[in-house]
Order: sequence, then C-alpha cells, then structure tokens
Amino acid sequence: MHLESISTRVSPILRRPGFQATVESAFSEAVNLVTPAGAALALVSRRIGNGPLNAVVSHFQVLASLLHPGDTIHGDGAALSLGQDWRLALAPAADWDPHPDYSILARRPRVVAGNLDWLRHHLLLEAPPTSLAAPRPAVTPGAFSGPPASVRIQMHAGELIDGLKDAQSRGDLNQVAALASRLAGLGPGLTPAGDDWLAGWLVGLRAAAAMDDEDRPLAVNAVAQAVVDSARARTSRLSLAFLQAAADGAVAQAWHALLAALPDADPMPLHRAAAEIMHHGATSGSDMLAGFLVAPFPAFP
Amino acid sequence: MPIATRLLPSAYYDSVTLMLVAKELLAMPRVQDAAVVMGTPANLALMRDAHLLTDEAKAATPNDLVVAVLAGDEDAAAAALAAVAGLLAASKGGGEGTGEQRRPRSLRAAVRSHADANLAVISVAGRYAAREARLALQQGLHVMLFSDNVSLEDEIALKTLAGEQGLLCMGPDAGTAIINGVGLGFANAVPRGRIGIVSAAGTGLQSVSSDIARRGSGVSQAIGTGGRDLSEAVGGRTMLAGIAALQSDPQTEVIVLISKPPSERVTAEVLAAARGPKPVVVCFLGADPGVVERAGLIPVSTLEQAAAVAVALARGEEWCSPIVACDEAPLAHLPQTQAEAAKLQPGQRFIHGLDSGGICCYEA
Repeated sequence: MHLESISTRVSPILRRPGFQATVESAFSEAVNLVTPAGAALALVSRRIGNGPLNAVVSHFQVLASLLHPGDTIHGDGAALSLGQDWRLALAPAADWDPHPDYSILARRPRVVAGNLDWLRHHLLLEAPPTSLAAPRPAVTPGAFSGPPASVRIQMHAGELIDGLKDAQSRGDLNQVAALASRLAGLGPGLTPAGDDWLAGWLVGLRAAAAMDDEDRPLAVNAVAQAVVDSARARTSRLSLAFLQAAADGAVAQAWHALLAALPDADPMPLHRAAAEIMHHGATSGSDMLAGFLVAPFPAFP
Repeated sequence: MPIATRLLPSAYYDSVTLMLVAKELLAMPRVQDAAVVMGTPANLALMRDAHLLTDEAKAATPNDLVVAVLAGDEDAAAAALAAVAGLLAASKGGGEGTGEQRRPRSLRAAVRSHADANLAVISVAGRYAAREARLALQQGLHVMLFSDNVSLEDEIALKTLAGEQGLLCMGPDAGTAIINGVGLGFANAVPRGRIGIVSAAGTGLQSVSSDIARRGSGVSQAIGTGGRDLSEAVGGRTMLAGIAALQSDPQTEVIVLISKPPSERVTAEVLAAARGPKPVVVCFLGADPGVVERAGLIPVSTLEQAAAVAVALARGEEWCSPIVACDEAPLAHLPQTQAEAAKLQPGQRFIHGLDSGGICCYEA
C-alpha cells in the first residue's frame, strides 16, 4: 500500500517531516483529513482519482477499513502512519498539478461554444432534480425538509445566482461578495450545493477569460478572492478548501478532461468527462457544472 | 408547538442522506416539519424562515450537523430526535460522526457490524471470489456465490468446506435464490408458501417460482446451486445439502428439483437422497423419467409441469391432471397456429426466436 500521486497543492504538507492530521470524515472512496493548522486534504481511491486536495492511495479499501474519524495520522517525510498498524510510503507518489491549461480553450473558440451549448442542454436533461442545475421549481415549498427543502434551496439559490450574474456583468465586486456570502454554505450536505456552484462559477470565469482578450468588467482573481473571503466562516472546512482551490483555478482530473475536451470536435471525450463530473457526489458535480456554464463565455452566431 | 433540536459536531453526510433522513422524520407521528442540515449561516437562515431555528441551533457552526424537529407535542419531537441516530446509521451504514458512518468494506467488517447475519452474498471478480467465499464459510455464514469464473477445483473445495461446516454454498455462478422470503440476485417477487425449490438452473428457478406464484401458491425457500453442481466432478454437493435442508424445513411440504441433464451417477445419488416423507417433483430436462419414477419421485418434462404439479401437491390434489393439462394447453392455440402457418410460403420452414437463460433454451 502506497501513495500513487499527490496534488502539488497538498504535497508539501504531506511530505513535511512532523506532519500530523486528524481524520475528519470517512466515506467509501475518500477519507478527509484536517491538520492542526486547519488545512484540509483527502486520501482517496483510484476511482476518485486526482483532485486539488487529493492523495491517491493504492488499495484504498484496505486503508479505509483501518481509518476512522478522530484517528490521528503522522508523517515523517518518508511515510504516513497510524500507530503501528500501517505505513503509507510517500516516495512512489508522483506530484500532480491540479491547474489545467485554460489557454487551450482559445484555440478553437467556435468548437468550444458548440460544446458548451451541448453541455447546457445535457445538464438540463440529466442533472438530478434536487441539484441547482435542475430547472427552477414552479411550486411553493410547504416545509423545510424532504423534497420541499431541496425546492426551497433551489429557489433561494436561483435568486442569488441571478443577482451574482448581474453583479459580475456590472463589475460590482461588493455586490458579488454580498451575494456569494449568502450562497456559500447553502445546502445540507458535506459540500453544500451553493459552494459547489460557486466553485464551478469561478472555474467558468477563468475559462471564459482565457477565451478572449477583451477587458472584463472584473478581473477573475479579484472575484475569486472576494468569493473565498465571503465564504470564510460560512461553510465547512472541507468545502471552503475546495472553494479556495477552485478560486485558484485548481480542479479535479475530470475537470481537466472536460477542459481538454471542450475544444475537441470529437464529442466522445466531452461526453465521458461530463458523465464523470456529474457522477461526483449526490449533486455536487452537477451543481459545479451548472456554475461553470453560467460564466460569460464568448457567444458565436 | 415544541421544537426539539440537536447538534452533532463534526458529523458529515452527503446531501441525499440528510434529505432522506429529514423525509423519514416528517413521516413520523405528529411531526410537522424537520430540518437536517449542516449549521452554515445560509442553512440557519432557511431554518429561521421555516420557524425551526432555536437558540440551540443558533449556536451551530458550519462543521456541526443540525437536526430540528417541529412536532405536535414534546413526546413526538423527542421520539423523532431519538430516531435520528438510527436513521443516519441506516442511510449511511454507520453512526453519527463517531467513526462508523460508512458501509463495511470487508467481509470481516460486515460480520462485525452485523453479528446476527448468517448468509453472505458474494459478487466480486471471479479470481477473488473463492477467497471471499472461503472466508465467509469460515465465519459460519452460508454463501451465495453470484460470481462466475471460479475454477472447478475451488468450487469443489468450497462445497466440501461448506458440507463440513453444515452450511450451504450456493454457486459459483448462482444467479438467483429466495431465502426466507428475501430474493437474492435476479429473484422474482413471489409469495411465501409451502413449495421448496433446489435448482441448478437460475432461469429455471425463476420460471418455476414465478409460475407457482401465478397459480396462486408460494415458495418456502428457493436454493440455487450453480450450473456445474450436478456435474460428475462436483457431485451435486449443494443440491444434496439443499434437499436435506428442505426435508427438515417445517415450512416446506413439497420439493421441486430442477436441472439440465445431470451425470448418471449424480442423478442416482440425488434421487436416492430425495426419497423421503415429502413429495418431490423432479424436472431434470432430458433425463429418463423412468429412472425418476423408479426412485419413487415424480418426473416432469417441462418447467411449466414442475410448477403445476408442485402447486397441486401443495394443495393436496392429485398430480396427474396438471401434467395432462399442461400437455393439452398448446392445443387451445392450434387453430391460431394453423391460421398463421397457412400464411407461410412453401419455402418457409424455420421459426427463429431468441430465448435467454440456459435451461429455457434447452427446454425450447
């Protein structure tokens, strides 16, 4: 059992002698860790694969059966360990850069535009009904639980998203921050839907900016910083770490595949990447994709 | 109306799990509304709008799971709150952020978390399946081995081990079974009843159990053996164990045995073992019915006959008439068949059809 690859975002932390982290939560394909300094990272299976906070573990299922929330993991620079039970060698792990090459989108902007249209249509058809990608509900919720809870969240998020688009197009950074702070942490689960949407939106803004040379009303980095600042203390540690990564342009390998597929005239890589993204989490992947597609990409007749 | 609130620090679940738990709470008696969310300000604001935000909930941080229940009286609210841990565990296979919020990832872990389990269904790649099955048998579990691509040597070894332990090893390549009313693999939903089935053919088991249900009767147990069980090499180990189990099962009054033609030696052993106080219907397609009859058992030549005869026996009726009825049933369609045949050209000689399932093809 060893680490196969580590995101460059967390590699220096994991490889540091004296590393220590606590298992914060454990799922079938990922174990989430938090360091005493508050840094979040994850040990994941090959199926989850590379991501901005991820270290991919060979034979993850064996490791997962040994780790439980509250356990403390130590590292000596050569390996991670939990007591005498197991050691995870660090040396075999290759560093993986979570920052994709956004500039490739500028090479074939018309193909990208066509593929984005397909993606919007596909998401509308295939997204889970409780995700923010689903069409706006027409009913008024009666209670804050069960399906009405998701409807209430969708309706509330929908208003905030409309406001964010408007504020971004007008270059109103204060309004972006105000609305993002209300969207951050919205949704019941581990990574709330509002955070997933914001992460996708920030990636989309970066991708859109890469496609044209025109001056944008707001610089992507300024928007990203405003969103992260406004989300701080308004969402869980892990979710904030994902949002921070997205703000820096760092995304999971499925997103690398999607960005690489967008300028490709062959539809299959795009279909595969979209399916993989939408398969992530209960609604997380679809929520993030919905945010991505709202970004102001250049239009072509 | 009282609102009961509970904070679960550092308890992380995905959104679908939390929504399902909220839905379960809403279905409880006198519960009016419920929220199960991470304690982010955005979620607390929604709780406030829904009049679910208590002072206790206001103290939540984004890393706390908040459960709030609005109910008709305090007892109902407290009962709903008390159910949350169990609902979270049922949804996620574990507890509330205590380290068990996931499904077991190994057989040993599954046995630890389900101490009363007595059967393991194993469906992994063939090369790993024998090892897992052996582990399950060693833990005292009956095994349904759904996986195929298990070697003949492993099958014999597993079934020998199961026999030594007094356990059933169904499979490898056992696609279906119904044990104590629970369908395993590709099982059909059929009523419980007094007819027990042991089958070396999965589709045969499905066909007969469905037909039994269609005729208004039910199944006590349906045991799949895997397609190679009645081969010379395996020697019908699981069918013999299944027969013994059904002979001693008080819920089973009639036994049905199903297989493609087994080896002669194994046929003799199985038929000898099947002789007992309970009537046994034998559907070994292609086998000599005389051999079955001489063994004191009831031979049938089709799956349909097997179901019809078993149902008649379970009702205490004589079993010859159902066989005749099954034989004559196609005659009712004769005029229609002749009419269709009349439309064919002289050169048209074949009927092409697609039938899936080994025994169904064999029967066709």
